[in-house]
Parts: sequence; C-alpha cells; structure tokens
Amino acid sequence: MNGDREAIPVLRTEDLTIAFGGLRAVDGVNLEIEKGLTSVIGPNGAGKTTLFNLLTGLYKPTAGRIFFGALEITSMPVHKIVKLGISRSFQILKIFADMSVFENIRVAVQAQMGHGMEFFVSPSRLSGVTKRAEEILDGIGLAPKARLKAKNLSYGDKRILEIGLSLAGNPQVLLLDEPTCGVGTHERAGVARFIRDLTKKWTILLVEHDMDIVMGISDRIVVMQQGRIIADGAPGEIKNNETVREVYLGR
Amino acid sequence: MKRFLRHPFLWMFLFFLIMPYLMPLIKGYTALASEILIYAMFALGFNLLLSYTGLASFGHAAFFGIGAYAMALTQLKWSENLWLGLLMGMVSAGVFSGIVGALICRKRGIYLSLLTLAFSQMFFLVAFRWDEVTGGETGLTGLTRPPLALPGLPAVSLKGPMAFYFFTLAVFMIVMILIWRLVHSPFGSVLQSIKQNEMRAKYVGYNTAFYKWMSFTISGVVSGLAGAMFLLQHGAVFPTYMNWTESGNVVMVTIMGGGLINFFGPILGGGIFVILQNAIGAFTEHWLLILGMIFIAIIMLIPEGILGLLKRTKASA
Amino acid sequence: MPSAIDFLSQGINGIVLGLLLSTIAIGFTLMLGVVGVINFAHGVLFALGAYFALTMRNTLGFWAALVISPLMVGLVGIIIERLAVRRMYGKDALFCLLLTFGIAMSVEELIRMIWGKLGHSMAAPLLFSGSIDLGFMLYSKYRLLLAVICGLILFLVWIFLEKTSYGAIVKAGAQDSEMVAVLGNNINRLRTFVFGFGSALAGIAGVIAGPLWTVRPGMGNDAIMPAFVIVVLGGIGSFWGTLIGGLAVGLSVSLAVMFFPRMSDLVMYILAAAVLLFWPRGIMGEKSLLEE
Repeated sequence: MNGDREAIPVLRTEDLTIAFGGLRAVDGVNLEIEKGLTSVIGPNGAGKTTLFNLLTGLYKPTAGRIFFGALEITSMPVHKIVKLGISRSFQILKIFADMSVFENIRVAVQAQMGHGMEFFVSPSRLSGVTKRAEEILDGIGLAPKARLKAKNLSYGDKRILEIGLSLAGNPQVLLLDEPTCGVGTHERAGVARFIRDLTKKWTILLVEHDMDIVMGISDRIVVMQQGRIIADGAPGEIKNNETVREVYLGR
Repeated sequence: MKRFLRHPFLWMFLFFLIMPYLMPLIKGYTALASEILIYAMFALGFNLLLSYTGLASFGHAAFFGIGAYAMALTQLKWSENLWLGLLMGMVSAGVFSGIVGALICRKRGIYLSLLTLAFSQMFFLVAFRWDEVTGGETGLTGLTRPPLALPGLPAVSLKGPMAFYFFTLAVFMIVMILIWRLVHSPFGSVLQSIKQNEMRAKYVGYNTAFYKWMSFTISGVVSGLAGAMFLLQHGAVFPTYMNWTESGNVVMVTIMGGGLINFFGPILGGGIFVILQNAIGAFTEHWLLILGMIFIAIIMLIPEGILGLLKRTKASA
Repeated sequence: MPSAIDFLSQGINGIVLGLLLSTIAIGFTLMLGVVGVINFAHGVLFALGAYFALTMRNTLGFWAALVISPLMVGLVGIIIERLAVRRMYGKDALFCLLLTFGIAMSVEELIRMIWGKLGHSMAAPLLFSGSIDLGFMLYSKYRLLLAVICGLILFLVWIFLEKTSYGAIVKAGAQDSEMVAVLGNNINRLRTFVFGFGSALAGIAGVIAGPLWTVRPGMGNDAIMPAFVIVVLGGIGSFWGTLIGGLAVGLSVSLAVMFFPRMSDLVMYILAAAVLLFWPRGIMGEKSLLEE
C-alpha cells in the first residue's frame, strides 16, 4: 500500500464472483466493510443472500477472494468461518425448534467455547458455558422465557432468538438477513432498535427490504443489482442517487 | 440415595435379573432372554443415530453382520479367546462403519438413507458370494462359546444358557449406561442440534459432518458388538443377518417401542420384536405376516411408538 | 479374455436386462416423483404380477395373463394407496417408507402362504421358447420377445407422458408435485392414479420376467434394488433418465459377469453409491424432492 497506517477493513472481498450455470449471481463484487451498520439493499435476485452465503463459506466462489481482517477465508468451511468471528442470521428462521430457549443459546455458546466433544459430563456441569448463555439471554431480553420451547415463542421473539444464536458465538461481524421479515408492525420498531443497539459492540451487515428501517439505522448503504454493486454511500446520498431511484422506482 | 433408588437403570436391572425366569410363562426359554437383550442393544445403538442425530440409516444390519462374521472368523482362524473375538467384532464393524460414515457424513435425508442401503447391499453380496471366507449362502456354523476368563479368576463356562444370559446382561448394562452417558453429554447435545437444524448447527460453529460421522461409527461399533454377541448366542452366522430387510426391521423396532421420543423405547421395541418373533413363530410359520401387519398398524396409528402412546394416555388422564 | 462373441452376447443380454429393469423402474420413479413415496412394496407388486400370471397361465394363456395380471396388480396398488399410503401424506417421509416396508413384508409372506415358498418355473409362450439362430450365434427367443414387449411398454408410457394431456400432468407432477397442486388438478385422484399405474407397470414387468427368472416369493428383491439404483442414476421422475439408467445397469451387470461372475451385481451398487456421492441428481433429474 502507500505507507499510511490505513485501518484494515473488517471484511473485504476482491472481485468476488459466483456463477450457477450461465448465471452470475454475484459478479465481480469488491466490497469493504468497516465498523458500524452497513445495509445491503436491492431488488429480488440482486444477489444479496448469495453474497451472504459466499461470505460465510456456504458457497464456494467461482472467482475472487474474501478477507476477514488480514486473513484470507475464501475456501474455508462454514463452521471454521463462524468460529473465526463471522455470524449470521437467516431470513427463514433457523432455530432449534424443539429445544428450550435456554438450550438453544447454550448449545451455541458450547460450540464457541469448544466443548462439543466432551462425552462424560452432563452439559449442566459446564459452568462457563451456562453462565455465558445466561448473560446472552439477559442481553437479548429473553431470560424470562428461558424454559419455553423455542417453537412456542411469538414470531418476534423467535426473530430475536435467531439473532441471539448468532451472537452466542462471540462474533465480530454479524450478517443479518432480513431480520424483520414477517414481524408485525407493532414489533418492527423494537427489532430495529435492538439491531441498532447491537452496533455498539458489533459490526453489522444487514440485508433488508424495509426502507424506513434501512434509512433509519444504517451508517452506510450498498445497493446491488444483478450481482453487482451499483451504488455505495451514506443514506442521504443513496436516497438521492439517480441510478438507485431507477432501479427501485423506474420503468 | 433416594434418587438412585428411583433411577430407571436400577429397576431395569432388577427386572432383567428375573427376566429369564419369566420366559417359560410365554412358552420361551432362557436363551430367548439373551436374544432380547442383544437385539435391544442393537436397537439402542441404532437409535443414537436415528433419534438423537436424525439420520435414518437403512443399512445397519450390515455392521451387525460384520460383527458376527468377525467374531466367527476370529474364533475359527485365530484364537478362541472371548475378549479377542468381541474386540474384533467391534473393531471390524467400527472400521467399516467408519469408512462408510466418512463417505456419507456430508449428506443427509434420503440421500444418506439410499447411500447406506447401497453400501449395506455391497457388504451383503460379499458375504453371500465370497464362499471361501464367509461360507457363502450357508454361512459359518458350529461355533462354540469360549469360556469367560478374567485375570486372576478361574474361567467360567458360558455354555449354559443362564451363564451366558448373565454375561449378556452385564455387557448390555455397560453398553446402555455408556450410550446414556453419551446422549446426556455435550456431545449428545450437539447431535440433537444437528437433528433439529443442521444448517444452524454449522452456523454456530459445529463441524456437523464430523459429528455425524462419529455418531454413525459409534452406532456401527455397537451394532458390531451386538452381532458378535448374537453369534455367541447361536453359534452360527448367515448372510441373511445383513439383508436390507433386517436393516428395515431394526428401524421399525426402534420406532415401534418409542425410540423417537424416549431413550428406553428401543429396548421395549427390541423385546417385543423378539418375543413376537418367537411366540408367533411357535404358532405359525407365517409370523412375518403378523409382524408386518403389526408394523403397519403401529406406523399408521401410533407413530410415536408404544412409549409415546403411554405418554399420550398419561397426559390426558 | 472373453471373446468377441461373448461380449456381443453379454451385450445383448445387457440390453434385454436393461429394458426389463427400465420397465420395473419407470413405475417406481413416477410414484416417487408424483406421490412422493419411496415404495418399498414395488418389489412385491412385481412379484404379484408374476404370481397372478402363473396362476392364469394354464387356463388363460400367456398373452391374456400379460394383460389381466397388471390390471389386478394395479387394483392392489390402488387399494394400498387409498387405505394406507394416503394417510401418510404430509408426515415425515420416513414413516411412509416404513409403511411400505411393512406392506412389502406382509405381502411377501402372503405370497408364501398362498403359493408356497418354493420357486416355480413359468414356461415361455410356445411360439417363443427355445433359441433362434442369428447366424453368428444362438439366442433365446424369449429374451428377444421380452426386449420387444418391454420396448413397446416403454414406448407406450412415453406416448402417454408426452402426447396426452393427462400424461403431461403426470409428467409435470413427477418433476414438481407442488406445481401440480397449484395448477388446480385434483391431487388425490392424480396420486391414486399414478400409484395404480405404477403398480400395474410393476405387475406387467413381473409377468414378463416370470419365464426369465424363477417365480419365487423373494423375487421382489431382485426388482426393488435395481429400481433404487436406476432412480439414483437417472434422477427422479425422468423417463429418459430411467431408460438410460436401466440400460446402464443392465449392461454393466451383464458385462461384469464376464469378469467377476460372482460379484456382478456389486457393480450396480457401486454405480449407485458413486452417483449419490458425486452427482446426487442423477444423469437427467432436474429436480430432486429428496433435497431439503
């Protein structure tokens, strides 16, 4: 580089591309994610979820590279990337439905603390894991519902549990894929505030369709279309960007 | 002390102590009691995979058979030592289930089931056709039970049905307690998370393919041990032990007893299966038809198994 | 080293076997695609086809049996679907699988009860017994007839799927059963029809296979396993996939006989495992409902 002490971006991609047959779902994406809350928006099929799948190692790119800080993570498997500190929540909920809320978080913490391969103790004896799980439950506000089965939570609470599961791994970066999807109008503001609060401790990359929320809580907005980034900047800039308006409102 | 007195293991142990004496009541004989425990052990090990990890293998009879053949071949070609035979049974089953497991552990659902079916058929064919080693269609017969020898103690003959039964009971209790421990450990909680939502389990940081492999191999080893014990029980092994229909039986039996919702379900299922097989078998040679119809009825009416049914009636009472 | 004539005769055997296996598998794959059921009982339906024909053969003759037996087996299939399988829709696929497993077990034993556990040989129709001189070698007349009949059946199935409107629905459903429901067709009737149709196909394959393989209670196993393999190779619900898969299995097993006479059928399981591991959708399958 040019010798300055430039901060290394938290997450960075270089010409990231993935092709399915002839279709390039993500096409030559160069992205640098800094601290704060970055939203990724775009019409359906723009490649946002595919981008998340690539960043977390679920898909292998056809070309390009991915860096987490200074480390290249391009071909790493999901569980390794997660352990390094990139966590994710899904648009379609992926919680452990038949387990209690507490157990959901506990098993996630257990993974992070590396106790998966223990055979001869009862899980309740892992006091470090239990303590941290309780802390996280408190932090996300679900402690009173700890004993409930996850499938019996309200939808909004399930959404929060989903985010809680991604927090349990003590990540540095959170990738949230449409976290307000399906949440009723009266609960939306709460979830949005919750996500904004997370920014205090974690770098957040958010995929979201709700423009009010996006404009309200983002530090930066990246706009994708057909696998490419077509705009990138502060909410104010994006709002007035001609190309973006065409993509969303045009034709 | 009070908790210990109420533990299911204690009551089961006491029941099993007297079980051989109950056999004549159902026109059975002591050896039947051993067979119940052996099959229950097979089903318990299998349930680790089916119910706790959520993987439906349709080829586990292959590992049961491999354990039996390994025990037989060890006795015939190498040494009559009881422990060596059992060890070889477990190790062989472990090696083959480890290899198959490694190939399938990245798959799930029906693909996994079909793969297990394909591999088990391969093993079955080898057992059926490799006459020189496995005896082919006629199998290996005429094996006797070696005595039980522990260091420092006089050797105990296992030829008598009661002596063999208590040996089987000891092995069974150890295996059951170990599997219980496994299931109620952090490792067990990981298996359950994989069953509930494998993608999420990956995304909290578990190498799910590895855990699936471990579960598959451990259940394979238990199947092999059960197979080796079965050989000791009957003194013979045939390729039919490894047939896909036997694999289907153990899936059926595990679910029938309530394995999907209760740790002890497979034991109940195994017991009922063996008793039915023998009790019905005494009346008609067409017991398979009755068994098949019982399976159908259970699947259609009480898929959560017998223990599930009891739970249901207790809840509504 | 086998001679050229050996290769040729095994090659022809392979094609004959392949056509028979494709006929067995086509019903299985349609059922799997449209109804979403892995029908373990497909093998015993095949066996029933052979046994019904065996019973009818002496009174009605081979050709009548060829038509009537599949209709009877189709009826059995419909009964099974309406009484049992129908209740399993929407439940975990494992339960449906186990249900058909239980049915297979029961029906096989029923066969033993009714017809005895020993095998019977079914004579080929008089016109087609014995061998024909092809010039460079002798070949079994019946096998040639078998190839022709199977080819004809497969052709008729193809016409049905491609050229008739109901067939188009079945074909679409085989690839994507959700779409069929959306199209507004009576999904229950469709499923019952396909189950019956698939069973009838198994039955007719059984009649044809009778003179070739001995008619014995366990003969279903020789049908269901290749059916699984062919569906794996060819993809679910795909006509061409089934045909190509069937020929692939038939040829590889027949040719393998020359080199590994004892383990020739091992080849088909190795093929299946390889495809499952590396190309789970098979050669031509476009959609796999087996995926999560």
